[in-house]
Amino acid sequence: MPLHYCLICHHEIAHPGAECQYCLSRATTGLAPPMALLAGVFLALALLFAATRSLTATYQEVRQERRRVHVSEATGLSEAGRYEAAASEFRAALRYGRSDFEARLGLSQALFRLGQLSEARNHLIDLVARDPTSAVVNRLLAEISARQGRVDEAVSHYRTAIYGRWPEDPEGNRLTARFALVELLEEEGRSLQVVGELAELLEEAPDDAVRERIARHLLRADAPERAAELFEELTRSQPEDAGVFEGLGEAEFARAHYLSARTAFSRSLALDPGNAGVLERLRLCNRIVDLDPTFRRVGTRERYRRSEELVQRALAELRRCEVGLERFEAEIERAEALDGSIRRGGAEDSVEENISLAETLWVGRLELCPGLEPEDEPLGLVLEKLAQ
Amino acid sequence: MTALSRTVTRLRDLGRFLATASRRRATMGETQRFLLLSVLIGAFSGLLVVCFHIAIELLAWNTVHSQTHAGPWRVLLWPPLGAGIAYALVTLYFRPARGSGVNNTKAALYVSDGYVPTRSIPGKFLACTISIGSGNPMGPEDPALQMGAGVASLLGRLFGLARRNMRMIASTGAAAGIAAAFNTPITGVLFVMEEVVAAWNAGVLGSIVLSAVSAVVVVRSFLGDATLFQVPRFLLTDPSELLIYALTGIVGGVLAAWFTRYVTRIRGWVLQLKPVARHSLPVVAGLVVGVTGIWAPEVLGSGYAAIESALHDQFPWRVLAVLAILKLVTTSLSFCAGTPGGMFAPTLFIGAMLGGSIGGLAHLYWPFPTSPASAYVLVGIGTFFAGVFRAPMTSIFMVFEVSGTYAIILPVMIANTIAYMISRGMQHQSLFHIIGAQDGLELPSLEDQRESPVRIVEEAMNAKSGRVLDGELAAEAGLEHLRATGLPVCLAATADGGWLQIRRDQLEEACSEGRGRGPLRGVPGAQPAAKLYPDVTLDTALKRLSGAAILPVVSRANPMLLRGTLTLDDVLRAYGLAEEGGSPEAGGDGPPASGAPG
Repeated sequence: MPLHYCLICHHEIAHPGAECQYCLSRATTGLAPPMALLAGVFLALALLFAATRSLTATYQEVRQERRRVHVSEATGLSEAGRYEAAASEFRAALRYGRSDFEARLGLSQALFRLGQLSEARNHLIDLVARDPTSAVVNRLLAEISARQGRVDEAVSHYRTAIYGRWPEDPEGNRLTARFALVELLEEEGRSLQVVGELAELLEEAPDDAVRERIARHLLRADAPERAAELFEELTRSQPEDAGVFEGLGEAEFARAHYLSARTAFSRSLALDPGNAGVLERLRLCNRIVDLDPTFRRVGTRERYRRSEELVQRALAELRRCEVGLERFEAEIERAEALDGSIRRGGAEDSVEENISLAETLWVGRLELCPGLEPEDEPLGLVLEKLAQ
Repeated sequence: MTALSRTVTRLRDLGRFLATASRRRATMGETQRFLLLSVLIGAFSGLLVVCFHIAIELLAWNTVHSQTHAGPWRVLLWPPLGAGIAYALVTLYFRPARGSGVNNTKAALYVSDGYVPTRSIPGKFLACTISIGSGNPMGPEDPALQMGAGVASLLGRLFGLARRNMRMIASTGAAAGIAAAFNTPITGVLFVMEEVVAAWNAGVLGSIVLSAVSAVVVVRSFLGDATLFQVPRFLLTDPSELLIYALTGIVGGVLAAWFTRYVTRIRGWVLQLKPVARHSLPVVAGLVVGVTGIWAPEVLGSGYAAIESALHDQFPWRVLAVLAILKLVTTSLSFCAGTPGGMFAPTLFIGAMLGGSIGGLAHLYWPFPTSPASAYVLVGIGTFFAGVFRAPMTSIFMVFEVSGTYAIILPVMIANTIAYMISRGMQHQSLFHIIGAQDGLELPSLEDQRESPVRIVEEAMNAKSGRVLDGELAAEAGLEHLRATGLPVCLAATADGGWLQIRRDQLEEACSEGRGRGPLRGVPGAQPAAKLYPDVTLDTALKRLSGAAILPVVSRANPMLLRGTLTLDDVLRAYGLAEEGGSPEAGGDGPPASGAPG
C-alpha cells in the first residue's frame, strides 16, 4: 500500500487530501505569549547575533587573507610584465574583496597593458566614482579615453589628474600628466588649448629642462614667437647647450627670421659640430638669405639680380606642371623677356615688379599642380615671407 | 556580610518578578504583537541569511574555488557529491525542505493557516549550503525565502497569533528572507506581494515592509551596504538603441517561455521515474555540472561573480552566449533532478549573459552608436526573471536595487515588460504554478487575477430610469406606476440630492391611511438609499445591496444626475447567473413613469 504524505509538513496521512494530524496539532492557540517566552525569543536572538558576529569575523579574516595573497601574487606578476596572469590574479583578489581599490586599479592597469580597454575603463569608472580625485585613476582613464577617441573625456580626466591627488611624487606626476595632455591636444590639432596649457605649465616649470620642453611644444603649436622668447632666455642660462640654440634657430626660422635663425644654427653647430641636422638647416638658411632680395644690407644691383633669380626659379617650378601653362602665357613671356638689365622707371620699381611676377608664377604653380612637391624649398620660403 | 545578604535578597526579588511575569500573559494586543513580530522576523531572517551566505562562500572556497587545491578533479567531483548529500538530507531527514520555497510559503498562506514546518529551516540551510557551496548552479534566494517564512511561522505560533494573522505571517518572513538574500528591501516586498501573497493586500503590506527593512538592516550591518553588483556608469548612447533593448526583451521572453515549458515537462517526466532512477538523478546532474565547470567555471554556484565580470565587459559576445546556454542546461538539469537550491540567481545569470551577447553583437553590427555590451548585461538581468517568474514589477525594481543605478530605467522597463508579455502570451502559467500543480497544490497567482478583470457597477447597472420617481410625486401616482409596471420597489429622488427606497406595500399602506395625495418623500417607512457610482466594483455594490432592493447609480460630479439603477438581479445577470431581462418582480423595467427625474 503506497504511503501518502502531507504536502505541508511531509508527515504521513491516511489518504490524499486527508487532514494532517500533525499540522492540526501545531495550530496556533490564539493566546498571547507569556513574558518568559518573549524573554526566551530575545535571548535566542542575542545568541544568534553573537554567533553571526563571530562567524562574520572569521569569514572576513579568511577573505582578507585570500585577497592579500592574490594581490601580492598579482603585483609580482605585473611587475614582471606578465599582465595576463596578473589580471587573472587581480580578478581572483576581487572575488574576495570587491571593494578593494588596489586590486581593481591593478587589474585596470594590467588590462590596459593587454589592450583590453573597454573592460579596464569599466573598472576605472567604478574607481573614479568611489574616489573622484584619484589622479592615478583619472590619468589611466584619460589615456584609455584618448585611445578610444573620446578626446573631450580624456581632456577632462587629464585635468582631474593634474589637479588630483597623487600618492607619490605629486610634482613629477603632475608634470607628466600635463605633458601627456599637451601631446594629446597637439595630436588633435588644438593649438590654442596647447598654448593655454603650456602657459600654465610654464608658471610651474621647475627647471630649464622643462622650460626647454615647453618651448619645443610651443614651436609645434604654431607659437614661434613665444618659443623664441623662451629659447632666448634659455640661451642665457645655458650658453653651452647646442640643443637650446638649435631650438632657437627653429623658432626664428618658423618666424621667417632667417638671419637670426642662421646665427642660432651657427652657434649650435659650433657647440656640436657633428650635428648633421643643424648643418642642413644652416645651409637652408644660407640659401634663403642669399636669395631674399629684401634684406637691408643688399645693394640695389644685387637686389635686382636676386629678384630676377626669383622669377626664373619660379618659372622653372611652374614649368614642372605639364598642363594649364597657357593660362600663364603672358607671365611666362614676361619672365622669359628678363635679361638682367634694369628697366626704365628705376631699380626699386623693377625689383617690385619682379617680385610680384615671381609671386604670380609661384601661385600659378601651386594652383596647377598642387600635388607635386616643390623642388625649390628656399624659393617657397622666400616667397612665403615676401607675401607676408 | 551585609552586602552578600543584600545581593541574595535582590536575586530573590528578581526571581519572584520573573516567576510572576512568566505566569502573567502579556498585555500586548494582536496588532502590536504582529508588528513586533515583523521586526523580530526581519532580524532573525537577516541573521540566518548572513550565516547562510557565509556558509556557502566558505564551503565554495574549500571546494570548487579552493585556492590551494584547485584542479579539474575537484571541479568535476564536488558538484555531484554536494548534490547527492544535499538531496539525501532533504529526502531522509528534512522532507519539509524539499521543493520550491515560494510554493511552500504560498501553501502556508493558502492551505495550512501559516504553518511552515520548523524543520524546513535547518533543512534548507544545510542542504542548500552543501548544494550551492559545492558548485551546483542554483541560487540562495529561494531557500532564504523559505527560511524566513519558517522563522516567521515558528515565531507566530510561539506568540500565539490569531489564525487570520498567522496566515499572513509566512509571507512577512518570506519578504524578510528574500530582501536579505538580495540585499534589496523593495524587491523583497514586491516579490512577495506579486508572487507569494498574489494580491495587492494593503493589510499585510505594512508588516512585510517592516520585516524586509529590518532584515536588510541586519544584513548590511554584517556584510556591508554594497549593492549585489558593482556597475559601471551606463547611459543611453543613441535612441535607436531602444530597439536593441526591446529585442533583448523579446529574446528573453521567448526563451523564458520555452524554459518554463520544457523544464516543467522534464520535471513531470522525472516525477514518473522509479525511485532508484529518480534518487540517482541529482548526482548525474551534478556530474554534468562538474564536467561543464571544468571548461566554464562561471556556471558553478550562483554565478554572481560572473555577472559582475560581464558587467565590466570581461567576456566577448560569443562567450556570453555560450555561458547563457550552459547555465540554462545545467540549471534545468539540476532543478529537474531535485537538487536543492533556488532558481532566482540562475535566471538572473541567463538573462544577463543573453542580454550581453545581444549587446555585443549590436555593438559590432548595429549601424548607429551603441552602449558597450555590459549595459545590455544589466538590462538583460531582469528579462529572463520577468519571463520565468511573471513578476514584472519585481524584475524592474530588482535591476535598480541590485545595481544601485537608475541611469537606464527606460531600457530596463521596456525590455522587462516585453519579456513578461511575450512569455505570458506563449506560456499561460508561470513556473511556480505548474510546479505547484505537479506537486498536488493548486495555488493562486496574481497571473490569474490579471486574467480575470474586476467587474464594475457600470457593466451591470440598468441605465433606464423606469424605477425612479420624483420625490414630489403623489404617493397614489407612485403606487399606480408600480402597479402598472409590476415593480415591487422604486426609488424616489429628494430635493436635497438624497434618494429614498419605497416598497409597494409601504405605498399601499400610505394610500389606505389617506396619505395618497402626499409626496412620495413623506411615505412612512421609506428608507434612505445608499448611492453607487459607475466605477465601484460589483463586490462593493453587493455589500451595499444587502438590506436594499435597489440602489441609484449617480455621477460622481453630480449626485442628482442619475446614471442608472442596480438590483441584485442586475448583478447576477452581469455574472451570467440570471436570465436576460429578468422578472419585473426582480426589478425589471416597465414603462417610464411621468415625473421621473432625468
